[in-house]
Amino acid sequence: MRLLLVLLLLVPLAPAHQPAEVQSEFEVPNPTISYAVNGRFTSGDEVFTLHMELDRGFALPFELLIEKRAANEDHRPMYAVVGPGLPAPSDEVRALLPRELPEGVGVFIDRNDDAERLVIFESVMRRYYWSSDTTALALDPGAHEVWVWSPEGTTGDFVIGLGVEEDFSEGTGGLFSNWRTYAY
Amino acid sequence: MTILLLLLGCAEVSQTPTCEQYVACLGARDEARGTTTDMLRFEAQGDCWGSPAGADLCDRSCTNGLAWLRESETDLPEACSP
Repeated sequence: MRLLLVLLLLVPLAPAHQPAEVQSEFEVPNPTISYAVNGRFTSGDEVFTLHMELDRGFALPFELLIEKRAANEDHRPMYAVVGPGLPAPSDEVRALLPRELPEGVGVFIDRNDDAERLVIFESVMRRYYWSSDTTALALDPGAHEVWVWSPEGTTGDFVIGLGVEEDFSEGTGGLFSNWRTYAY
Repeated sequence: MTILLLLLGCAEVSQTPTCEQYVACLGARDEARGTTTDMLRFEAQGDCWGSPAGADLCDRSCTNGLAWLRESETDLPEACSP
């Protein structure tokens, strides 16, 4: 019991996001509230895409989570945020992207390759996750996309988290009807 | 133990110095660019400071957000300096 208490004190807790699921593409209904969008690489060559339209400049945090278990040790997807006002990529960053960057937009990329991986406890799915760590991006108004891909072609689940403000008034995105897929 | 966990859940949190600087940096950046950025969640009265879990997430967001700005933009205002 004491060990459990110590662990709870040491491991950061993640707040609850509105859960959702991405099969291939997902339209973020309201980017001003927080979401945890769950997906699964089955072939390893998928590129999952979230679309979101910002009606104003908005400082928005992003985080990629992978369930912490032995089978996922080598499963380290990357994500990129693509949109207006973000910097043009270097050749090195461009080479990492899974598809060509559209004209007139820039990119933020999280390689998710830290040697020491941050571990968090997520209180909705009640699982431990490896986190890419959270980064707030000051985004300009307009259409943005989030791309998630697996550079090494590994398969497995992921969660892309975005936002801070919790709001469950629009339901749970159907995720709990699919609970067994992602939770256990 | 239950009492301790309840106390942890009710622990007061407030805006961290890193997020205070992140807000100041974005404010100065907006002024220089002629833009407006909604950063309410990171401000002193924002949603970030409702729970220890939220505060931890936001503090990490601000730390990495500042690092990203410094790395990706060369003409940042003084308020964004380390």
